[in-house]
Amino acid sequence: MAPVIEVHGLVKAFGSTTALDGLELTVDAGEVHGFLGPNGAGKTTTLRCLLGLLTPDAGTVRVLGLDARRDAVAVHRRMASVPGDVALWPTLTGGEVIDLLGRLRGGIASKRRDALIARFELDPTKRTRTYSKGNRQKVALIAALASDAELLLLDEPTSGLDPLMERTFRDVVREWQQDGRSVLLSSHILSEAEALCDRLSIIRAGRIVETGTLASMRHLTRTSVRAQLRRPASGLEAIAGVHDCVSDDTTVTCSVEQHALDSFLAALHPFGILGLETQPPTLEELFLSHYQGA
Amino acid sequence: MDGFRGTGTLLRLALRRDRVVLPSWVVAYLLYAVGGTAAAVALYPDFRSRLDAAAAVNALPAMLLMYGRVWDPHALGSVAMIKPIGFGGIFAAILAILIVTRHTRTEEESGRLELVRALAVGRWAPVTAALTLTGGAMLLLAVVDALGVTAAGLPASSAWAWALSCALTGLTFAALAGVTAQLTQSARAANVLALLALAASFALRGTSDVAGTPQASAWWAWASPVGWQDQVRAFAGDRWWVLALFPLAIVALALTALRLAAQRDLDAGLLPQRAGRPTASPLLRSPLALTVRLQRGLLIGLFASYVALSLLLGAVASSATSLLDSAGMRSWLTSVAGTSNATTAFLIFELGFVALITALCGILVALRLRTEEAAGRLEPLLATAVSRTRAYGAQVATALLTTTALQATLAIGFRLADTTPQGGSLAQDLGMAAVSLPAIWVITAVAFLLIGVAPRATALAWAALAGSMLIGEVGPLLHWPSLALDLSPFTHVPRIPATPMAWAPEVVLLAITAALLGAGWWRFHRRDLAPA
Ligand SMILES: Nc1ncnc2c1ncn2[C@@H]1O[C@H](COP(=O)(O)OP(=O)(O)OP(=O)(O)O)[C@@H](O)[C@H]1O
Ligand SMILES: [Mg+2]
Repeated sequence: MAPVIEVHGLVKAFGSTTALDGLELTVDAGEVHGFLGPNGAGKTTTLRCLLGLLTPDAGTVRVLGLDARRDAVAVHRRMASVPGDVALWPTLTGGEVIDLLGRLRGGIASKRRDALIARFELDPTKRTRTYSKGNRQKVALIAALASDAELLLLDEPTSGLDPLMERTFRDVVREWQQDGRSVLLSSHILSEAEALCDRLSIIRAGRIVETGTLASMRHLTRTSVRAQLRRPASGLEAIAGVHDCVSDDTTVTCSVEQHALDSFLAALHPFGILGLETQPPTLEELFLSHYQGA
Repeated sequence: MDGFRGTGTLLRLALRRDRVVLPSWVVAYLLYAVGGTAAAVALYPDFRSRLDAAAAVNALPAMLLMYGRVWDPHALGSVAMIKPIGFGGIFAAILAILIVTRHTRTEEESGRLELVRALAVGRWAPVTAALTLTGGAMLLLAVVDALGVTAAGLPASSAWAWALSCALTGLTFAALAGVTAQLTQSARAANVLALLALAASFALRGTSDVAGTPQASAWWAWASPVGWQDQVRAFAGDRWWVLALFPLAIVALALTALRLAAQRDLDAGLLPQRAGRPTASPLLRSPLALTVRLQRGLLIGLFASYVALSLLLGAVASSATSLLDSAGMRSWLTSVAGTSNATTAFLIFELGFVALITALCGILVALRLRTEEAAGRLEPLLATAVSRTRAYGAQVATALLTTTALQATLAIGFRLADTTPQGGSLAQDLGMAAVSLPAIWVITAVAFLLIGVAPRATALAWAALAGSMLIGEVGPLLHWPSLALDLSPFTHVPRIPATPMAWAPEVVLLAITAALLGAGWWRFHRRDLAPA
């Protein structure tokens, strides 16, 4: 199937700051695509370009096969979104906002709307001025999730939600995906990305630095290995792809690149292996390695 | 005294934020007062002309209502300053109300106050800082005004009496705004409440002069701060002791504001909040419906005010005509309005003024689009299947329809309340109200142009209005060159039926409106959204 989002060479500058610097992004139909990156990396700017709210300085932005800027209205009929900063009309109630946004997108199924209101435990009769942060977020989420759009753009959608509501959110997104629909999810919550996303793109300073499944990204980092030996080992550092070896008598800890695991274990064997602990890289390590310098 | 902690810091912050806005207001105010005075002083060179003008004003209920009585027909200042005396306090009060709300409820509504109050800042500090700032602004206004009017050639002590009465009226309404800011949750509602109180004060003053005698206004003038300002009788005896009433009211209102501020919670108002609808009305399904819904309060308020205003004008016109049946009056009317039919002349005169107010309403409605954009609320709207053209068009339609309906309201109300036998027909009155619409729309369209082209400088729309006002009020008196007068769209409005209907200027004004709206739309539908 054709990708639902295709971004090529997207450049967007605000005065002297270049927010996006040749961004490439592809989201396939039916997938939940995670969009991660440090603060100020350009996630929100990318989503605004996808919505056609910003005019790119260069590059092409195609959504659902249409031009994001020129065909914005046609795209929006088939795409729902939750903005990063949820600003609502203070004098309208939550229920009114959900209905209004739904109708302006081209219709809202009241059964689905009511079901979502119940699942997210929102009181729709309160004016949005009086909502807590999490409740404002719920209004935007319900308005988007109640739609029958094919594609969902989410910019840090769970900020302010309590853990229970976050679980509800994950359930609803999975159901969304089961209907064959796609999601682009910008997030800082790694466990959320891990739980929901089929593929990830990592953005730093306006460029995508990594795209792929979580498993494929894991390969890029090192596994930490701790071995209990019969005799003190030596010469392990000399193996290509083995780093940071610390020996304490018969215990060694090293971090080992994936391709070196085989030769590393072979090198340990002569010293007599009594015990072996390995730790795959944590998500945090994975992302920190991408977020920092590198 | 912990409750006042941080007042100084907040005051400095407020000064920093208002460093452009405040001085511009003071300069505009000065131009109005001093320009008007200089022009009027030149208008009444001799004793005779003063007596004539004073007699005309004092005999016309409409003039008494708008500006108040000329208390001393012999004194140059009393005659020449009739407009600054009538409106000086009101302009100061509007400025004061806007400043106080801006630094109290607006801050709280935006959530910025929460950030500040979490620091070592007491609960009384925001109100106190806002009132202190306004006090300083009013003092500056008084000094500048007194010096300016003295320079224009009027007695210094009277100039000070007048300037102080205006500043103190302003400060009284500042303290009142301090109270309304505690009552409502939204800044807009706080402003509306305070401005309604100002309008009521103005109505009390106006009717008390109409109902009063040449020696004294009716008693209810004393129930209104605007009335006190009139009762000072600057340039006509300078009753300084009346000024003592202001501090009493200011202290009482300020203490009330502090008390309320101490009692209530952050973000809360004291007026009750109702639960709202769980679902949207079936009508709320288009950008136009949303625009109207968001500005519902404003629109209702405007229409109610216009109904009241038009009925009042009609009633006044009825009572005016009998008084105007002298040759002297007719010649005076002909000189101001270009016709000797009293009712028509009165209507031309008043409609000319009210058209400026309708243009103000047009700007108010137009700029809501920018408010929505700056608050980030245009983004969710445009993320639905609403194009920018539709969002812009909905606001344009609301602004044009509102101004049209307001002008029509004016004509209909006037016709209903006017009982003079020789008064015009509804069709004629509607026509008289309608001829101003192209000029009103030009000013409104300036606001839309700015929204598209210079979203961060939309306040310039007010400058366009103020400029037109200045040109209309002061320009002809000072014999400005016609090139300058032509800058105001209102200069080109035909004064039917005193002069025959001229279509050409109207068509040109409409073309300018269309061009401005089109240019605004062109930029608006192409540019990036601009946050505040
Ligand atoms: N309207 C604007 N005007 C000027 N600069 C902007 C504007 N919008 C974004 N930027 C800049 O563009 C860069 C990218 O911002 P963006 O909001 O896209 O980051 P982000 O990845 O969403 O960050 P976060 O994780 O904090 O939400 C930042 O340097 C930001 O300051
Ligand atoms: Mg962001």
